[in-house]
Amino acid sequence: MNLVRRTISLLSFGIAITLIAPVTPLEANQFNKGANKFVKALAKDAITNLTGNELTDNQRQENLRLILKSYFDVDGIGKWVLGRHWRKANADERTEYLSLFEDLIVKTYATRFKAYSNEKLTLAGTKSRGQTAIVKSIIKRSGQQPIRVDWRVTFPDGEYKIFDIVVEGVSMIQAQRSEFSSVIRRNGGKVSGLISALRDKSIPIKAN
Amino acid sequence: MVVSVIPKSCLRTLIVLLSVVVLANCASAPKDDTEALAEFQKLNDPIEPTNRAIFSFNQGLDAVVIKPVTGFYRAIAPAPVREAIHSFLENLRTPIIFANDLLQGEVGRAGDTVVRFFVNSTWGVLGFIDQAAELGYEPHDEDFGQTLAVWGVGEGPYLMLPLFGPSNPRDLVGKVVDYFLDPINWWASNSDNDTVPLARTIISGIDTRDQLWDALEDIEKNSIDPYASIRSLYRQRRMDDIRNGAEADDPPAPTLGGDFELADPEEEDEGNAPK
Repeated sequence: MNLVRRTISLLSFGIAITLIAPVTPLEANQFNKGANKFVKALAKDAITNLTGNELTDNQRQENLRLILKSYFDVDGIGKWVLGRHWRKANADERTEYLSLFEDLIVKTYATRFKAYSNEKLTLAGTKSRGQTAIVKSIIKRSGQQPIRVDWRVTFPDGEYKIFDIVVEGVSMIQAQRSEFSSVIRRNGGKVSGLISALRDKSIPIKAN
Repeated sequence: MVVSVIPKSCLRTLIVLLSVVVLANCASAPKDDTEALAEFQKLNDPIEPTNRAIFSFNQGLDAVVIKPVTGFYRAIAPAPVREAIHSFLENLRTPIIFANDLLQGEVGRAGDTVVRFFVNSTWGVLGFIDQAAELGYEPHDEDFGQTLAVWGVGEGPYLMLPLFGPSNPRDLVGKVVDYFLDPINWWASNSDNDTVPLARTIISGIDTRDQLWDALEDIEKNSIDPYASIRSLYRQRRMDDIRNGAEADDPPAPTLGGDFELADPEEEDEGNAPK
């Protein structure tokens, strides 16, 4: 009896070991590969849909919104950027904030793609870091120094999503968080202050 | 650089005046909210009201003088010409970069700096063409502020300098030391050619504004608090420069589970001497 039990537990231990040991590094490896492909696909998609000269500003922004939604964890980023103030915000404020945040990102990056002039993105390896993969890339511009861009890729709901872009060591979500927290602090610690500032900022989106 | 331009007595008055303004204008730390207090300490910007006043002054100066002058420069000089001038100015910085490479114990990078100087000064026509980069000797920058950081000196509180923009006590000291390290400045002061450093400062200023053109346009258009944006961007860039573009030792990764109390890169890196 005892022997049987011991054999079973040994066996299951053995099975557990064989299951865990080879799977973990393999998974990280596969995750990195997938993340790498994902960034490549994003770059291709972005160049196809965002850089055409014939695009109107509105079209470009709408295309960017689609790309943003399929490749970026926009709501997750929005929450992280708001940080501790997210907890204090009520349901209405959260909804409005997330939608204004998306508008801000769309507007900001649409202008960047408008200025695109044949920059080439080359992938330069991927590393795992905790639960995220960091896909490194170099953007080459003619006659200028290349730019280092790291893409931080997560896997929130069973699919790849980008959580942060780090340009020459500058984390975009970090910069955004500093800015928002400063606006909130200067508005007496109220999220509503940030929301009204974002509202003011989003008006010219139509006027452009 | 400003040191040589302004007479000493003027400079002294300026410093006294500044310190009076600074002391009278300290930001008060939040008292009852521990999270807010933690944030305040992390921001490390105790003289924020003064810094913001100087920032407004700088923005005014930019709108009235620096931006129009740079805009004119951009209009008359096409991108390749501006790039050549930028390379030329970078080549002039070689002695400072070389000295700081050595002070940081970066012998390999010091070697690159020497190769770059000889290749670019000759084949690159006095530094106007960056031929060395074509050969694989990519440019890099160093200054004494970075050297101090490598030696373990913390940055200190955030400082907004009139005209020169974002800084901190460590980087300010670095700027002054770099000025005195520069053989071009020795030569100028020994031969009474004071206009040379002045002209170089002005041209470098326009070149820097030109290099930052797109980034600043972006901030002007899209930031709801340009002061806070620039503070974060400056600190993150400096941190990256100090690490020579290598990754942080223990970089915080945003996790998947909606964890909002994530470590903050700016906080993590504070005073972290790079390896």
